[in-house]
Amino acid sequence: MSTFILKGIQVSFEHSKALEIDDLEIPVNGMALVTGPNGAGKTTLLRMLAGLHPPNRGTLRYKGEDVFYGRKGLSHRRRVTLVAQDPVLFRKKVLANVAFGVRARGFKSEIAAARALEALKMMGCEHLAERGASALSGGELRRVALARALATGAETLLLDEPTAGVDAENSERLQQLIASLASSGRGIVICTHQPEWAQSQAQFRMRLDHGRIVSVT
Amino acid sequence: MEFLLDGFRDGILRALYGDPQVLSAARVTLQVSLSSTLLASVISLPLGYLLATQRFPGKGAVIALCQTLLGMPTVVIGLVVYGFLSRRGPLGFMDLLFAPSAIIIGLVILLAPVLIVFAMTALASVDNRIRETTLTLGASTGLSAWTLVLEARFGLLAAILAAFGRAASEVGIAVILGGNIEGYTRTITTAIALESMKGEFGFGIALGVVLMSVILVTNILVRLLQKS
Repeated sequence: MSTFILKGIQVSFEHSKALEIDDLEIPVNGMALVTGPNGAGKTTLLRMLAGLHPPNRGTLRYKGEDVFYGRKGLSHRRRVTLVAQDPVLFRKKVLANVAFGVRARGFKSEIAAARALEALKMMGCEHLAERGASALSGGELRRVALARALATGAETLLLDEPTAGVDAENSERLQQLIASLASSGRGIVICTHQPEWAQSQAQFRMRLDHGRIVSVT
Repeated sequence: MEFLLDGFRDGILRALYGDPQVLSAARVTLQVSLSSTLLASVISLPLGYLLATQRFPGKGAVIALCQTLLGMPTVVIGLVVYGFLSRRGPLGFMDLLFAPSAIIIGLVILLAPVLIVFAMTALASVDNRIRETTLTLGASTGLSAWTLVLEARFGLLAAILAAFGRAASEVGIAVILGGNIEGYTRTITTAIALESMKGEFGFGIALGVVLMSVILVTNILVRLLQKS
């Protein structure tokens, strides 16, 4: 089974524990849902799964391989991509932003641009391709950030509050897209404190509070 | 005032008609300013990057030192480098004194703290999320660093232009290390100092206008390059 396996994990910031998980398997064939109130440790969990923030203690494995951080973590970061709750775009045009991850993998600019345009089409925002990143609304920015993650071709996407700040129409569109990605075999881990729309679609549900697991179903 | 205006008019005409003294001073000014800015940038910008992005013991002390060196008088730099390059100095065998190379060495020492501090500030002001975003999109640490530099490009360019302006308008280092030799180490600023001592105030001011024009044209060219 394709999973994240966490054992004896502890993540602390200064003197407070942000996350404490003894033993957990998160399946990433389809959609996994992590819920909890603000400050529950959801974002910390995603950043750790993404290979961006190492745990202070414990081990993390992804599909049978140890997850490394820093320079050694490059191969993991190319398999697992995080879309942050408050995404940021580079000072470039939207198309160049979305093509960034493809270019980072060594693809030529024409191939990267084609894949970027395809991802923008999937998100319904191909009309933004030539626009400067600073000229986007909050909702457009989130969709472009998701398109940028999609374009990388990463096998698992970690989405932190993907529909926060998006209007109702675009939120529904995003939900449908995320569901179709999950059903097509792409691993999706979603963190949200408004889980209603994802509850029925997720194969794995976990609730965190104060950095600890409250329930797993 | 009339003598000033006459001298100024005369100086501007000499500059416009390609007076060899004015042209050679402008050439030497450009030569030492551009070379020193380039060399100082190559040395200082990576150091600014390290200070902005890395944690290491003594980082605070290094920043304090660079900030202190920003106020170092140019004549002091000139004297110290003179001591090293003079015949009795440890680098005297290189025979660099009273040559453009000596001015360039002095200017690099002057510009390095300026570029380090400005680059550090420009890079540190880039949104923290940028680096993490590049990494999660699969960038190597090298590409991630380069992206950070691109995000800070306007601040970095401003730092380089400020350094160039500082080099072009400097006089203490140029006099002490260059010796103000006409056609060889005489820059516009050392020519201004000389003309003022001779009582040619108007011509000195005209040379000042030429210097400002050189800096202005360089700024315009860099901005055009940036836009392209």
